[in-house]
Amino acid sequence: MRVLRRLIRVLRRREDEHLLDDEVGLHLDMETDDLVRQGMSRDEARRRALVSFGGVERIRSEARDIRRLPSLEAWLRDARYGVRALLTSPGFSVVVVLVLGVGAAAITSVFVLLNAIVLRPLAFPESDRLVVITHAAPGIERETVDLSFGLYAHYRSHVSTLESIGFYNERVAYVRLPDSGSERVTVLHAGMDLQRVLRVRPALGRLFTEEDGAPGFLNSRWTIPVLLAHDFWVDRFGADPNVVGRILMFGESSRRVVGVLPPEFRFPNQDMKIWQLYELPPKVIRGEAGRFAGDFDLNTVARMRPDVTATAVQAELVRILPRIEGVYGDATSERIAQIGLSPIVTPLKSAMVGDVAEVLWTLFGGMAFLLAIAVANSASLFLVRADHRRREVAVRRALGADRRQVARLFFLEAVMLTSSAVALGLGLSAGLLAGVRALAPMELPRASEIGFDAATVAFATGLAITMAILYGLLSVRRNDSLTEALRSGGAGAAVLGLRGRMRHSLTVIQVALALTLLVGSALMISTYQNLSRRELGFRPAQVLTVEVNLYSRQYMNHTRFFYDLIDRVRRLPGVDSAAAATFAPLAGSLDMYPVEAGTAFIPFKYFTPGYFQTIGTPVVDGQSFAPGEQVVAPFPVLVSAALARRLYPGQRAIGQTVRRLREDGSLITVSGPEPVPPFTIVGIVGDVRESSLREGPSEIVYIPVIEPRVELEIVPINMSLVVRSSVPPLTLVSAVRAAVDATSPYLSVGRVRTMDAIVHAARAREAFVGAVLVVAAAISLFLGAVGIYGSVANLVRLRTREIGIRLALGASAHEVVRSVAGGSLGAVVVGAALGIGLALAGTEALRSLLFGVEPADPMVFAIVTVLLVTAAAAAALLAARRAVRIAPVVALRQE
Amino acid sequence: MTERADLLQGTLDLLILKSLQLEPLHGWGISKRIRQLSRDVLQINQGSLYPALYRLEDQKLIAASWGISPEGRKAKFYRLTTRGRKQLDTERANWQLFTGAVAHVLEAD
Repeated sequence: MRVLRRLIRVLRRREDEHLLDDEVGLHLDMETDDLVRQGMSRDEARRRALVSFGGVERIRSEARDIRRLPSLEAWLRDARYGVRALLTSPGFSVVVVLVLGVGAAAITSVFVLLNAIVLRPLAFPESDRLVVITHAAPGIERETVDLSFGLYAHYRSHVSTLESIGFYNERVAYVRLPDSGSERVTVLHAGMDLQRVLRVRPALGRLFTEEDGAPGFLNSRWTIPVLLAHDFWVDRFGADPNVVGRILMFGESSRRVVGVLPPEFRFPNQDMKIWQLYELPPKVIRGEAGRFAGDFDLNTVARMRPDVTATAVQAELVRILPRIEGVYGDATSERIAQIGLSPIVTPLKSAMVGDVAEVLWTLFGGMAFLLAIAVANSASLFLVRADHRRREVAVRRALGADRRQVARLFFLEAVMLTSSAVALGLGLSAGLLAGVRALAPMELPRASEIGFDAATVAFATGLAITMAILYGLLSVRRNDSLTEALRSGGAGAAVLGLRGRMRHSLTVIQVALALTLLVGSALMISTYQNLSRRELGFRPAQVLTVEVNLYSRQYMNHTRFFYDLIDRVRRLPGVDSAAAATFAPLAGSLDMYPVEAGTAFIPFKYFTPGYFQTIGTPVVDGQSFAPGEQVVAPFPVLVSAALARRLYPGQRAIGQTVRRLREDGSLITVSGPEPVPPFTIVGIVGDVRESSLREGPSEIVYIPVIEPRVELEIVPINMSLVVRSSVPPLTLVSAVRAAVDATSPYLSVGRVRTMDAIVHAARAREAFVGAVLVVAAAISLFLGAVGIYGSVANLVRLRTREIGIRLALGASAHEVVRSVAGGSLGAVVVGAALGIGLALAGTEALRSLLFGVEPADPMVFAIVTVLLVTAAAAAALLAARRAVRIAPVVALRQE
Repeated sequence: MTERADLLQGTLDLLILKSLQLEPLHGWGISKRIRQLSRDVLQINQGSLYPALYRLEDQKLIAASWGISPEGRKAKFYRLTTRGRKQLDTERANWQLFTGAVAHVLEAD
């Protein structure tokens, strides 16, 4: 406060002096008038008034002294002096700037991520009014389901707390581009409602209009309109302003470009390249067609009316949901009760960011610890420096500098150091963030928004100012207490006592925080190891996966196309075996369907013969669909061992039949009223983790792609080739692409990844958090050890004379070491004890990231504590050894 | 011209506070008021008046604000703060104690 007031005074100084002149002028005039009234001539009166007043300039300077207006010149002089003082001890300055710079870089980098992803509002107008609607469906064992056509139409016509509701689907399309052949792009299917909800404005052309949808989606002569995402338009069309009106080919069917979306428009994420018009049939909107419990696959985003909360919307949806009874044919009271839907309304931002927010806050906490260690570490350097400057400060005080002037000098120095450190930190952080963007170590939502902004600058400035105030105060208080200690006479003991208390508390802080970071990183290492040791159920090494899409109108010929392709790939040099499946393990989302047995939805996966042999999964019982193997059962399928155990406990699953159902639980018919026959289980596949390393082995049905077809309704047109090779997998990419092109123009290539990369991506988040924490912990361990070493070494230096006397009087080396290092070792033990408590509380935040290890794992705590205390003790003893080597004579001669 | 007395060290502050007891005054008004109240015996050294005013202001015993003087000029008026009033009471008591004591000494036989 006082600093602020003084600053204002400095700024107002000119005005102040002007007012002083006014006041003196008034006085002189009044005095003159008074004398004139007493009969004096005006000139004489003026002269007398001036004489009796005395020197105006003197009053001015006295006034200034009283008000302690520091002149700008004095500040500049101090700043110059500060720079010189810092340059004369470059070691101190460089170390402080480096240590604080690393701390600042760490915290700023995470702040930038946190700010861009979690804190900043989404780039839609009034985005805090956007919400996502999903449902819990305990009756069909689904944690969340999206909306069915029926639910969407029902809410849309009855809800009053929402201004508008839009739905969308994300689809993948293979788009033919002028130069680069065909490209796999993510397409947003949505209509006018979504435009209204998100309040999007086109950057070029126009948005969708009512007329666009009028011809109807079944009209084959109608070209569906699309909008291009801005970056896609720039990258693939060279920002061509004439793109509006152009025809794009999606496989063999065409789309018309009507506009380009604005650059900041990324919905539902930055992968979306094309927005294709998609409207519900009017009959569904009017409630004349559609089902209540059809596919629950419409993603929904809605705009709340102003001043409405998500809770209120949710309450209203809960109220209006039961009114759907009877609106649709399948909306019977039994069916509604059986599914047990309950609406969940989530703000769009938390839905988009998801649990990444938690990860980022955890990292932010970790980096705050690292920064605190850096600050404590530098604080001990400031203490040493303050001690060394006792003489300088004493001279300054003796020459008339008052406390404030000395304080000003210390603050200026601190500001220069911390702002250099923060500048360095920002530089490092820019590099780190560029790395994060380029390498994408984990999947981050809103990744394209990551960057420095005003909030980052404010954060960094705040950081520099806070640290400067901290160090300024530290130096000032240090010198005050030192001066008092000196004045009180008994220099040695008092000063050393003070130094000890302050320094030991810094050691305690550093050790406690370092222990917490070490525990956190050890838990993450353990988690990563546990995930790496998980039984995958397949052998990922030497396997390449290539996503291949078949143009949908050729679906009747899918077996032929995929078999042809696999044959070609098998013949490539270096390829040991090849097959295909709808997705590689850990690489895709599962399509879930109800089955006759039990209520849970079960994922289905199509595969071509030889798939399990190629991916390296054993078939543990029955037939395996090895290439060339004859399977005679009707509609044969394989199931995973986990599914067999659950559906047929204690029995042999081979020979059992299982039936896929529609989403609403009805039987499947293809032609005529007869339901399709059930599948026969002919083999049991060893357990595979198909969707996540954390989950148990997948319960899944494997459907062979063979002739005659096994699954009569759904045909896989997107498959992933899996290619096992004796050569490095990525060397095969161009040959595989060529094989795809040679097989058929109806096939196109999507993502190409090695199986190793897919497995790695499945634990990328743990790897990223782990790596960050390990680096932070290593730095903190290093800083802590160096800090303790420095602290003991400094003590030895200050007490050289005393130690010399002790040694001369026959003290043993052991006693000397204990006397110099004992205090620090005590502080280490206290710090470790505090650190264990802190870590017990802090690692709770990691719980959701951990796998196979508890946040309070005693083994981890024990190992980390031993490691830290050993390192700290080693550092202290290493420094203390210098004391023993002091030669008494030299020491005594020193002063 | 009447005889004039030099101010005793430390009494200037007391006189300034006293002169402001009734109403806010500007600097010249203060010196005039002290001259009048002392029946022209006490003549304030103007060179020490303003530093004293700034000092008292810094100590928050008096507060200043700009206003218009009866003569229609822009002037800085000083007034007593609550703290200043208390200080005036204390100092007046001290002064009376002191002068009483001095008088006793001088009148002793």
